[in-house]
Amino acid sequence: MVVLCVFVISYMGSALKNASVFDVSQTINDIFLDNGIALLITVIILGQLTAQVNAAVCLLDFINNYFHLFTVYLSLGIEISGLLHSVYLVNVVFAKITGNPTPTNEPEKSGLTLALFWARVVGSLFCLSFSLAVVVEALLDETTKMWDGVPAGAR
Amino acid sequence: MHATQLTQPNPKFTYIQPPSIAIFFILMVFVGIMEGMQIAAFAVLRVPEAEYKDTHKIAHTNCQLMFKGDNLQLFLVGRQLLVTLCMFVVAKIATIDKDKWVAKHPDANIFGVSDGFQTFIETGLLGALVTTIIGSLIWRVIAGSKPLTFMSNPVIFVIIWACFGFSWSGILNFSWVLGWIQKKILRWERDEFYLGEEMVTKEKKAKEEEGVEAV
Repeated sequence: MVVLCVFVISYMGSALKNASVFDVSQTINDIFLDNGIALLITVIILGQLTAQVNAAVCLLDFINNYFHLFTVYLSLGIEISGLLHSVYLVNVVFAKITGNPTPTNEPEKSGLTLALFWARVVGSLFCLSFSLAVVVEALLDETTKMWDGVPAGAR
Repeated sequence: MHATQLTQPNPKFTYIQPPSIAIFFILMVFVGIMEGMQIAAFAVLRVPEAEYKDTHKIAHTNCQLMFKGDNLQLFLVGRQLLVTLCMFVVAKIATIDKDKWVAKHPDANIFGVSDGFQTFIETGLLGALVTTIIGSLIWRVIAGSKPLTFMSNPVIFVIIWACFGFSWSGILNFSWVLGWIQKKILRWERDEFYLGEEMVTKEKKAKEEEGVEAV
């Protein structure tokens, strides 16, 4: 969810090309608007650190609201959807390689539960593969929002 | 834009364009190390020092540096900035630029998907999925499973100092003022107010040992 929020904020808050504010010099505009430094600092200070500063010492008051409950259910919903289940495959493979199984309190899966679990793993792998293919294809095609000039003279 | 399959031979796969792809995957690894090192460091805390001091010297040095004095707080603040910075860059370079795409392929969508799905792809959310799994969760799994090996990476030593540098720069220090204002407005109280000093100290110590994130 954190990554999703960062991506959405980046999508919504990125400045248009050659944007200018407060009549400051082009260099300042390039640094803070074009490169997104202004948005970055705003997100970290307003959206992350301010909350963390208080959450570290006021744990009870911080979670004592319905929005927190909502985020918990939303996170659980994302997990249940199976979108990220390919990570469990990595976990299983890594445990097999190292011979060091991850300790868990969950009962061992069997029958329909096990089948559903692996179905979600396969679904997640498909989504991940497709997403990676799209990103790599767009990068190779030079049609992403990568800064102009990268890669330099490759084509 | 018409949803037609890209059928023409694609010359771009005949050679490698290292920079953009390299930057993307290097950032993935960098974010992954920063996500994992926090998990690994707290996991190493539970291992008696004598057990790994001589066998994992780099891990020992990294942990000593991270947990000395107020270093943990400095590290966490700096790490926050670095992780978010990397994610912003990844979000930028992994998102399809509609103008560039239309200029190059006026009549085609990527992999021949529908127009609606092309619009969805252009939001960059697929990049978020890739970043979450490859740049974050997988590294957390590995760090949790083999914390000592993970912390034995010399790159972590450099990252810790980079985090200190960002914290010392003071660029994010205004968050402490905002935090104070937020606390006053919402009338939040410290946990000690509800639970008592002794209980909170005991609980926090236990949670730190479990690797709970805290600034």
